[in-house]
Amino acid sequence: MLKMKYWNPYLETLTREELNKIELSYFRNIFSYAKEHSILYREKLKEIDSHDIKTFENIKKIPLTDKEELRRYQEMEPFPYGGTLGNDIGNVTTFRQTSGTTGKPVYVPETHESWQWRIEAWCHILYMAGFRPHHRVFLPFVYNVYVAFWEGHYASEKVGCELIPGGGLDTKGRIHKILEIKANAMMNTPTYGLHIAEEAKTMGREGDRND
Amino acid sequence: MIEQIRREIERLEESATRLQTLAHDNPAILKNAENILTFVYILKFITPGKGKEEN
Repeated sequence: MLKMKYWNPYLETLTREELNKIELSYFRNIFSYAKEHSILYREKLKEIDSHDIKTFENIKKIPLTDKEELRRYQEMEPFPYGGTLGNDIGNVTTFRQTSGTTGKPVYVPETHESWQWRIEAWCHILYMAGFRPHHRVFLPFVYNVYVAFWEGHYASEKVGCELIPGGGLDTKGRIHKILEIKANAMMNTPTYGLHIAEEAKTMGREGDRND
Repeated sequence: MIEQIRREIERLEESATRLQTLAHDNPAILKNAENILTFVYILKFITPGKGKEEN
């Protein structure tokens, strides 16, 4: 696993033509599923049939969905996901939400199955970024209801890394924990990574290394 | 009925193990096959044979 370049070499080395064909077929499937299971997409896409989608040009004709629309449909029943929900509410196993940087956060329902799909997608991201099973990964955030770091957390495990959830500590506490547990990788926003480096300098720990 | 269930679990195990051999150079398939095996082991554990040692 260490020397492999791709998380999924089969999928990631297809020719553009092969990939387009698969993407179109997957798109048609998800399009049909959304129309059948979600009020939002049933109403929004009622004029379009999945069989009409034969090329990427056809996809361009499908109306885009923005967050305001998602927020509006989430005011419907069933609470709190409303008409965006694409599954039976009884199958939802976790509530999370978007960061809310552009307005009211959009609520994100996950079933056990849908969550596994998200993790698989994130495995590609982490593998591409160089995360490998020998890494002890420090994740210096409190995730709470924010969805993205949960994906990073579970994908890191799936890739085979050893994950240290680093929430609930201040920056100094995190630096101490990184050194104590000898973390050799970190998953963070660039700005926070720089902040940790600066803080380590003020603590006189910038020369310490976890190789 | 339980014997039929156990046979199906064993088939899953054989199949996931074959997947691992076939896809030895594909981390994504390997890991997903490994995850199947994790659940196979749970399935085996929760459907023990009567008076029989488990592997």
